[in-house]
Amino acid sequence: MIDKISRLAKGAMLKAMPGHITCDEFEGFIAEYFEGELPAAQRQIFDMHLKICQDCRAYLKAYRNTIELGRTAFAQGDAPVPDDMPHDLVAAILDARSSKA
Amino acid sequence: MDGTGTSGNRNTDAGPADEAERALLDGLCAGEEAAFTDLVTRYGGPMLAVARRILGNEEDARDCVQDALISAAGKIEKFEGRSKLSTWLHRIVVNSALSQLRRRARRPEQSIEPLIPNFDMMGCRIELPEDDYLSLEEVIDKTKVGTVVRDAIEQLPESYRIVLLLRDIEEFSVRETAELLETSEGAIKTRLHRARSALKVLLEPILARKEEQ
Repeated sequence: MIDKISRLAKGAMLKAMPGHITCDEFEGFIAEYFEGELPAAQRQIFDMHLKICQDCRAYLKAYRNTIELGRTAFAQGDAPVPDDMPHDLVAAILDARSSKA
Repeated sequence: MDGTGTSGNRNTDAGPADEAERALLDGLCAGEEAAFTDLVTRYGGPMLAVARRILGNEEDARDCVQDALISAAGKIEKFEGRSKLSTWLHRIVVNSALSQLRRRARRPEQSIEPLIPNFDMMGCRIELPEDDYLSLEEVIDKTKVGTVVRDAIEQLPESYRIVLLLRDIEEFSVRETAELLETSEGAIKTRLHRARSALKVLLEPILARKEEQ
């Protein structure tokens, strides 16, 4: 209940303060931020919001870790080629090339 | 560097073909069987891994790699060597996998809405406390992330899963991803952001301290 009231107060404050954005407006900047394409003026507003909003800091931390975890999960070495694959494949490629010629 | 650190894109910063690749290319253009065996042995594994990630099925992945290699072999004379052969083959196998996905019977896609961020009536984010989230190192140290993360990605609606795979895992740029999926860069950015947000929600059990203990 206290969390809810303090969030509502924070939202009202952010809406009233010039040069500040709410969390849902901040959300709209995230894609460009992660592509490194956020224009300087918006980047300043983005950084300012992060300084005062611990919910968005928490969100961004978890979001960044999510991206890294995705990479980590697939970063293991590539599976070896199955034993029967090279022979079958080479034959198929050569067949396709000879039928094209 | 802000954001994700994805500047090292394997598809755009790969240099031209090296000497070993040149020799292989010469053999392929001459139609030498040994060169095709070398092509399959050297690049078949990495291509199969890409196809598995996109198609999630061993048999389809093998068919996809076969199609991709036949396609590559058929136009090898047109390969100009301005990028690495592996980069060129990577794009071909991704295209082949995407074609196969398009041919599959389309299942109705689940909505991603339940997995996207929540805001209250004043536009404030509803989020766990910052300290509840573990650092990346803590998550990796304490959890066998591979299976959990791959399973979570599998749960994403198909059109979001593919964008996330192409951009974050296969490391295509936004522009390249848009080209591959025949859509706009804006649509890719939006879809990617929603896919990452949804994946974050699915991974909260391992990302957050509260659930982890």
